[in-house]
Amino acid sequence: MEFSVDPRLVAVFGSETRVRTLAVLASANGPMTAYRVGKVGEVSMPKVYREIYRLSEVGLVGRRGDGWILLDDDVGGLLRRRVRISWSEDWFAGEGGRARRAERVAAGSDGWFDISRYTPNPSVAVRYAKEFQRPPEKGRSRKHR
Amino acid sequence: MIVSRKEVEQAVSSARSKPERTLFLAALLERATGEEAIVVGGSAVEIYTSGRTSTRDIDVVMPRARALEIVKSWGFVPSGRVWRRRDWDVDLDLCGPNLSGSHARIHVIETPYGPARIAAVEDLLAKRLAELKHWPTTPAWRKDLVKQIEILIAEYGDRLDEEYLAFVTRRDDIVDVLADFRRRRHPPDSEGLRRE
Repeated sequence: MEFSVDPRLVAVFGSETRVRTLAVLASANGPMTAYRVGKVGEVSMPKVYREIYRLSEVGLVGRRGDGWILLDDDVGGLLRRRVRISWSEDWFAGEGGRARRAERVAAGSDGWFDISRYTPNPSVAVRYAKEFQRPPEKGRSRKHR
Repeated sequence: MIVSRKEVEQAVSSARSKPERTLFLAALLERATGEEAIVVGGSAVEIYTSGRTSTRDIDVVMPRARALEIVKSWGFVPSGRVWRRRDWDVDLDLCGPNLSGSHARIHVIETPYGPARIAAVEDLLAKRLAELKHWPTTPAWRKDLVKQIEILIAEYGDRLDEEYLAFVTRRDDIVDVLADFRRRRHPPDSEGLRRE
């Protein structure tokens, strides 16, 4: 089943293939082969090779080892916000760093939040009551390591 | 497409972490049913936080009828609202087809078993902020929510769709609480000092 691309981005970048190619590279934690970009972005191989060649000609992507990286941070920032597509190997390769950063944040998160500063809005509570009310079999089994 | 119980068991045993196992199961559910399976709730937060927050059940938004047949054939047994495989310590909650959030901002992660979809980080953040502010919670759960929110903001704060986030925070009356979390991450004074 395909993932869809915002037509406004297609209008900005000129083609859906270009958006998909750049979006995969924007979300990557490291260099990606053209083959992998095609697989993750659901773009045919001839199209992805052609697109990467074009993008490298204008300096938007560059070679790193066996793979390609996106060279423009601004383009990357826009695409990371608007197209969320990753490869699981790459996602989990970045897991250690994410977990360490999360650990640091969690360690300092106790004690500052004061709920009495806020006034609850009953209509919002009612809207989400089904989601917030958890049956006993689901439990609140979350634990923090 | 038929996905056998054996294939699922192999996938689950090959996963190197709980978040990876969740993604594999979601991808296989989608492949088996031919219908989108979107991981939401605490299990989605667990993926975004790389397991720093943890949940026993996997909440999946997808049409239930076909999915129920599939999970039964994979050895899950009903336990109240959830479907359980005790040997994997996995509870599946098939939440039905309605996603209460943005479909366009779902994160798709391509796995060896096909795409796995996770709810938008903006929606997960907003739900937690709304629960924190508007729903009566226990102090322990409130502490958990604060941690989840802080981690999500720290990790994804620079890649949130601000236009969408502004919309949901206004709609859910959580502009103030989000602003306080952000102020804590980036106190106004520290900005000034950096510029100096």
